Amino acid sequence: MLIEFKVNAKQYKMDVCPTMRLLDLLREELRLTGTKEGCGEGECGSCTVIMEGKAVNSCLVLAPQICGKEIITVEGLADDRELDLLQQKFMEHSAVECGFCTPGMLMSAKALLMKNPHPTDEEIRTAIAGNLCRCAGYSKIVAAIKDAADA
Amino acid sequence: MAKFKYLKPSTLQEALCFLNGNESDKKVISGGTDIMVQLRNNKIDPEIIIDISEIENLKGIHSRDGFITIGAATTLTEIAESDIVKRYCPILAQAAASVGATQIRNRGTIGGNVCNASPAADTIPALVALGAVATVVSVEQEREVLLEELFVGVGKTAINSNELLTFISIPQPTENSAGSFFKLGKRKAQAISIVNGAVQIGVNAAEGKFTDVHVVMGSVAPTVLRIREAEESLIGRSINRQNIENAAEIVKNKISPISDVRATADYRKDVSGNLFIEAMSDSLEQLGVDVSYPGC
Repeated sequence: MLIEFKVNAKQYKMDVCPTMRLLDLLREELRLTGTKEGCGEGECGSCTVIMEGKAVNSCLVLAPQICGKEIITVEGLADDRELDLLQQKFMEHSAVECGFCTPGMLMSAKALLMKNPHPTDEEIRTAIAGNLCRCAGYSKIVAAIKDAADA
Repeated sequence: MAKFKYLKPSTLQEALCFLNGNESDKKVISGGTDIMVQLRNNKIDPEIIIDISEIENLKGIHSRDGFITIGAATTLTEIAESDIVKRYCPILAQAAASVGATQIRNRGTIGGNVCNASPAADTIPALVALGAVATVVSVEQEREVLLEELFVGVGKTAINSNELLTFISIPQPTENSAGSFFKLGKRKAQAISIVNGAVQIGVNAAEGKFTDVHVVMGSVAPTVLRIREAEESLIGRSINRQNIENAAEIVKNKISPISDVRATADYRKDVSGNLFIEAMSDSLEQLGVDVSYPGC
């Protein structure tokens, strides 16, 4: 079926299979492989993208459901080769270990700061509670988000 | 994932027409947080998926004529953050806020949480404790079902295949009432409840008596359970520790939990009594009644 949507400020018109997931559309069709698949059932948050300003698991969204919607992926954070402040702070705080959860963490954090520019630690922790880091580097991730918010 | 046809009605009438034909297997989707997992695990194999997430009048929260009315396609985030819900039925805001994690609550809806009919669903005990009513509509008729009568088994509701859950209405609680939602899981986020539940009570503080008590337990039976014997043991009685502890014993005896990967049946029974006492104590504290439970 034919759908129109926006990804990272770029307008698309595509014929998609109705059973396709947003995650597969991003990775396979648009080759935006920054968005990762972990569990495929909404438990791990690796595939988090921002849809209409809200963090969502792209593995749980059907491609036709994004018709008329705006999506931001991790590739949409950096602007003209300059990193988003969150990305810079993740680097400064060494908030990346193996890196697999990082795109999802960044997108959950970005969605939080878009809605709430000055979150408390509790609000930061709630915002990333659906993102698992198997390296367990949570403290540094929270510190990086906090620093980006305070900057 | 199996092949299916995807339909996105823009009005309720259109959705009901799609549901009306009985020629093929259909499934309603909105946020998709449960359905997408079931599709992927081949637990369901519908021929048609009907997406109701764009039907405007099935979204939103309104307070009118003494009822709080919530559209079935309202997200859990919208409910958890709603000033109306937080003011009149805080236990529902707490229950909605305890489902999954932010990403799940941003997509998942109240209608989906109800229709998925999981014994461990978090919003269901809160809704039953509040005396919520479901509006269920088909092309031919509209009917109202008390939410506690909607669940007929694990994953099963009394909603027919040609019907759609459209609204959930909650009678606005009176001034002298308060409630408490509780959930015990392995962790705070993304946890399937070991035990969950809610109490909603009304009191006559001057006489020191309970005027109304709703006790609802989840994850301890195939469907949500309202513990009427515990309620009856308190209504009209004095507010004191002995009466609450007696009611807790009734709660423990009336539930029929199973042992599974999350906890044993014995543990669920014991912890249910404790959670009930804590919830009663919390509700009474909100009403300015002190029953002083040390350690709660």
